[in-house]
Amino acid sequence: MISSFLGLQTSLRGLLAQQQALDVAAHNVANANTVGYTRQEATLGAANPLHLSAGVTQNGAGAFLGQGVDVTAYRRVRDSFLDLQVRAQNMALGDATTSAEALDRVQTAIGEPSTTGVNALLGKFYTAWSDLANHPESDSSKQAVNAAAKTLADAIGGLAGEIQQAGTDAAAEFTNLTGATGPIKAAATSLAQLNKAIDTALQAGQSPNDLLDRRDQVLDDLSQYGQVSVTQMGNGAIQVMLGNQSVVSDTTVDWQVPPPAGFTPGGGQLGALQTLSNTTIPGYLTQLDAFAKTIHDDVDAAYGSSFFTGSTAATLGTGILTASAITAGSGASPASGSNDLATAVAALRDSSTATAQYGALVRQVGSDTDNASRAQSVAQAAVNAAEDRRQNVSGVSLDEEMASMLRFQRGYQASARVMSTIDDMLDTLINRAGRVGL
Amino acid sequence: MRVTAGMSQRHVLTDLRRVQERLANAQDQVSGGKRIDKPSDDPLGTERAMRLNAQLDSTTAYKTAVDESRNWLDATDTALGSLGDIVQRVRELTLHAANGSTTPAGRQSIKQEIDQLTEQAKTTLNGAFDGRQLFSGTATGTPPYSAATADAYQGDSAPVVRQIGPGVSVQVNITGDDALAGLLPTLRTISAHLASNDVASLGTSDLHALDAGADTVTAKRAQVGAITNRVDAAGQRLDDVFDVTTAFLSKTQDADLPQALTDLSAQQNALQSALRGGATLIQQSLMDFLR
Repeated sequence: MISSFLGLQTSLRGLLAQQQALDVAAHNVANANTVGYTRQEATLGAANPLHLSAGVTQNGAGAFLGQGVDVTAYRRVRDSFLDLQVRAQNMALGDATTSAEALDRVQTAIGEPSTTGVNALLGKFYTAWSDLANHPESDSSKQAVNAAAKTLADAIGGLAGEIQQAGTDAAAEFTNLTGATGPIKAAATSLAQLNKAIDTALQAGQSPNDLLDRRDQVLDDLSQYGQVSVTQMGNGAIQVMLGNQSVVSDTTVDWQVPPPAGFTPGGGQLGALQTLSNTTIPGYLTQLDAFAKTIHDDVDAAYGSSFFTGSTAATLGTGILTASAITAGSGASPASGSNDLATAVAALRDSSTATAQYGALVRQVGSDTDNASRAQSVAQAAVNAAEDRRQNVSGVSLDEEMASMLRFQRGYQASARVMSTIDDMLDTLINRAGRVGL
Repeated sequence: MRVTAGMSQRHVLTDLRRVQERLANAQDQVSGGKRIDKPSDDPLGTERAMRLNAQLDSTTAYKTAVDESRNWLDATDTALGSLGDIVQRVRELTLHAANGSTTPAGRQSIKQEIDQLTEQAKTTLNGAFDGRQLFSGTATGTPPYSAATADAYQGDSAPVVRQIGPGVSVQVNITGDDALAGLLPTLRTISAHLASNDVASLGTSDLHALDAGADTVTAKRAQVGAITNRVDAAGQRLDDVFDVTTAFLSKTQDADLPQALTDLSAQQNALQSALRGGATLIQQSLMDFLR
């Protein structure tokens, strides 16, 4: 026989399950704006049926009698493949953003095209020489040549200093990010703690959804610095690599401060900083040095003796010939109107490759910056698209939660109605049955 | 696709940011008037603008040299012109002296005038220009002739050369020796013949020598005129190059204003519609329609 009260129990399960599902909807709505939150679902499943032994039905067979509903799991609606996409694009965005910012600084230092940049000053330097060729006997023309040379050398030296500084700053930023107080060390520490908490919860048979969200959020944040790869170690623990270095494995912080010499981040902000300080910026400085050396060599050759002493971008300004020592003409004691040397130096304007060299450097910096900022927009769009796909799966849709609320509210009301119907039935049975003749 | 509140909000913000960025770019072009503000705006264009700026600098420098040369040549021409006048006057005086009707006393006064004219020929060439000597070769600090009676040329024979274009140079000077080498001794001879009353020589060899000297001055003046023409032509060419280069530079780096203004108003409209769309999108949800 089946208990008369089975129906009460069944509708109670219905009430509880609908209530729990409503609680989950409440949790989702509350976290609609939480960064990194994954929407959850209460998975409802029919409760274990009551087994009725053979003979209870008319044809003599047994039966399974339904006993209502249970919440079988709280599901975290997430696709880990989309996480990989978001992190890969995050890495590209970190790389492009860092490069674009540093390169923009270099091109701002260059400041071309302008009437005050190195290109214009080089033109003024040559013009000072042609003025001297027109007035070889004039002391003020010699002063002007000396002053123009100094201004040019100072501008080239200043530019070298600013480009150098951009490289130094990139290296310092790399040290900060990877250092003891940097974000990677902090991420490693919190990942180790989260791994431990997740282990404990999983061993207790719980589903630590919100802890998993927090761990994924830390990994998302970490991915802007370099290539993050995650290895599952079983029991919910993970090992996290940044480039070729382990950050954390299970509850152990592996991240070394400072990272070993062979550390390659594989991209991201750290990769960009490494490339900038090791390759890009030194490359620009080499080109600038070659430009300074061309000026030094060409002017000295045309002048017939040493005019510039320094032959690198940083040293070009040292030991420029003083105004009183400059002669416009060649020979031991040239005639006052002799101007062959000044004419020869002024003619470098048309023959020297210095202008073209500097133009090539500016074009290089310009197109590098342009590429980096294009890459930044592309990566930003890709991050948005990947984030959209992830939100498509994991994001909280308020409309959807509203609909769920209605659904579960109605479910709850219906279960309550069933319960009161059974109550009525039992009232009939207990209070009104068997009273014939009373 | 499930569109969540966060998604639509982020889309609206991304679109707004993009439109605002374009608007700022359009505004920069309109207010700055430049298409290229920094190398990354157009790397190749920047390099070209720099090359064109260098070419403008170079053309300006050559134009300065042309003006300088022109001044030098003009001053030379004026001096040679005065010299020609002096020679002409000397010729008239010599003819007058060679005339039999002129008295020996008259020849003495003519001698005095010719001596004065000889000194005047020297001082004409000594006339300095811009603080330097034009007829002393490259020895621009030394006057070509001393004020004393000695007639030796004091300058050198080195050419004064000016660069008036890429690889184009001209000699702008005439030395005092070129102009007066033959003339000065002739004048001295005429003076001596006047003193000694040598009427026969005055009328024959002296006049011939004087004409030869006058021819030299005229030839030198013609030479200066030819060089002036060359310099003028070079200056004209430089002006043309300057104009073409300026136009090309403007095409390379200046903003196309009508285009930029059109862009600006198009972007302003885009921003307004993005804002309006965003406002309606963010407001609405199922909550607005549920009791």
